[in-house]
Amino acid sequence: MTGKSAASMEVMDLAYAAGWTDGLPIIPPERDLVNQYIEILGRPADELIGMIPPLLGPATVEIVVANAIMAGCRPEYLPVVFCALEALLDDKLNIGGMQCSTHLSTPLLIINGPVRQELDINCGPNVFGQGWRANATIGRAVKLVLTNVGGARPGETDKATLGQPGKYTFCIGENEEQSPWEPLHVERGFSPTDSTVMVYGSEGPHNINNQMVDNPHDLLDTIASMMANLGSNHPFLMGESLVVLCPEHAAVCADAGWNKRDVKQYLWETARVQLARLRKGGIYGADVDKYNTWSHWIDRTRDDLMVPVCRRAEDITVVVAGGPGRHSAYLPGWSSRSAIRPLNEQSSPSTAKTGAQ
Amino acid sequence: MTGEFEPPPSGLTPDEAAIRLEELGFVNPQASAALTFKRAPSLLSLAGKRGGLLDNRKGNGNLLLEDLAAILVRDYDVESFVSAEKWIYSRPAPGELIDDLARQVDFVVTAVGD
Repeated sequence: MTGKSAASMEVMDLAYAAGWTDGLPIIPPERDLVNQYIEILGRPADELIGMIPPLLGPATVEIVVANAIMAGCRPEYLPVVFCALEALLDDKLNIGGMQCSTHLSTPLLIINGPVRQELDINCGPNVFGQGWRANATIGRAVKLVLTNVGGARPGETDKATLGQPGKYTFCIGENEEQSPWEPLHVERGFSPTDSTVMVYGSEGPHNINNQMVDNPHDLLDTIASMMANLGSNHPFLMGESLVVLCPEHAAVCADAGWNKRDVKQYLWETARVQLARLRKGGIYGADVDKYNTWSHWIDRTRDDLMVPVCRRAEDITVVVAGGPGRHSAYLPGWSSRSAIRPLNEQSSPSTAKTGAQ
Repeated sequence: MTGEFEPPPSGLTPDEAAIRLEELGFVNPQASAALTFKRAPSLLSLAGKRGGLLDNRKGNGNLLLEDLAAILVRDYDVESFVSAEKWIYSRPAPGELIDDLARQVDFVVTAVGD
C-alpha cells in the first residue's frame, strides 16, 4: 500500500495480528508517546494498579497508559481510566467471573462530579451513543485493559455467548444538572464536588418509551414491566439493577413530590415475577430451590408468590441521564454489585497537565 | 468460524507480530499472566482410587458428574466418590473446600460452564 496512512495501516495489521486490539484501529503506543503521557500523569511507570482477573495480569501504569493511548485517550483522561480500574477490582463486582461468563454483561462506567465538565464527558443527548471522545476512549481504554491485561479473550477465557457492543466501550456521565434529585455519588456518600467513577456489570440499555405519562405510577409501572421479565438474571439471582431516567421522566416523578427512595421502593414492590413463571427459565428451570441468593421470606412452595428482582429497594440504582425526549432505560445487570471510587488528588485531571504544552 | 483468534494473512503468529511491534518501538500493552498452574502428577490408574466430584452449581452439573462417576466406577474400578458443591458458580472454589477435598480423595472431577 502507498499513501500517508499506509504505514499506519501496516502497524494496525500488526497490532491486530498480535491480538492487541478490539478489532478497531488503534493509536499505536509508541514508546516516546507512552513516556510523555506518563510524565504528564505524574506516576511511576512501574507502579502497580492491581492484578486484573481472570488471568491476573499486572496492570502497571505503563501498561495502562499504553492501552489508553491505543484507545485514543488524551492524557487528561488517564485519571478517570485509573479510577475506573480501581473500582473494577472491588471484589463485590466480581470482574473475574463477569469476564468469563456466558452472559453478555460488561462493565458500564458512570461518571459523576466536576470531571464531567473538565473532560467534556457526555451526560445528555445520545448519552449511550457515539460522538464524545472522552466517553468513547475512556470506556474503550478500560475494555482494552480487561482484555490485554486481564486475559479475557473471546472464545477462550471470555465465554460470552453473544457479547454486546458495550464491550467496545461503555461510559456515560450522569446528567446531574437536569436531575431533580441528589446525584448517584452523593447518594453513595460523596460530596457534590467530588468526582467519581462507578462501575456496574451491565447488559445494554432496554428502551422504555412512555410519551404521554403524567404521573409516577404509570411511568414506574411501565419501567417495572421491563424489569419483571424472565430473560434477565435478576428475578433468579437478585443483585443490583440500574434504571436510567431521562430528565423528563425524572421530572414526572419529582413534580409529584417523589424522591429517589420513593421511586426505588415503588419499583421494588411492583417489579415482581410470579414464582410459577420463574420455573420456565433462569439457571435451574423448575428447580427453584437451588436459588441460594433469594431472601429468606420467599416461600418456594407458593407458586403464586411474587418474587422481586432484588432483595431490597436500595439495590435498584436510579440515575438521570440523556437529553430531551421521553425515553428512559432499564439496564439489567449480571447480578453482582456495583463499585464506586473517587478521583483522588493524585489522580485528578486538574493536577495533570493537559498535554497541550 | 471457530471463534478463536486467527493469524493474519501475513502468517505472523501473535507472538511474532508483538515482537515486530516492539522492535518498531511500540510498547506492548499486554501483561504476562500471573496466574500459572503447576500440573499435578498423573495417576497411573484409577483402580482403587477415591474420587471427588466438584459441582459448580450450574443446572445439570450434578447430573453430568453423577453419570460420569457411575462410568468411572463401572469401567475404571474407582472405589468411591465424595461430592462437594461450590456456593456459586461465578467464583473460584474457596481454598478450604479444595483443601478438604484434597484430604479425602486422590483426584477430582469438576464441571465448568453452563
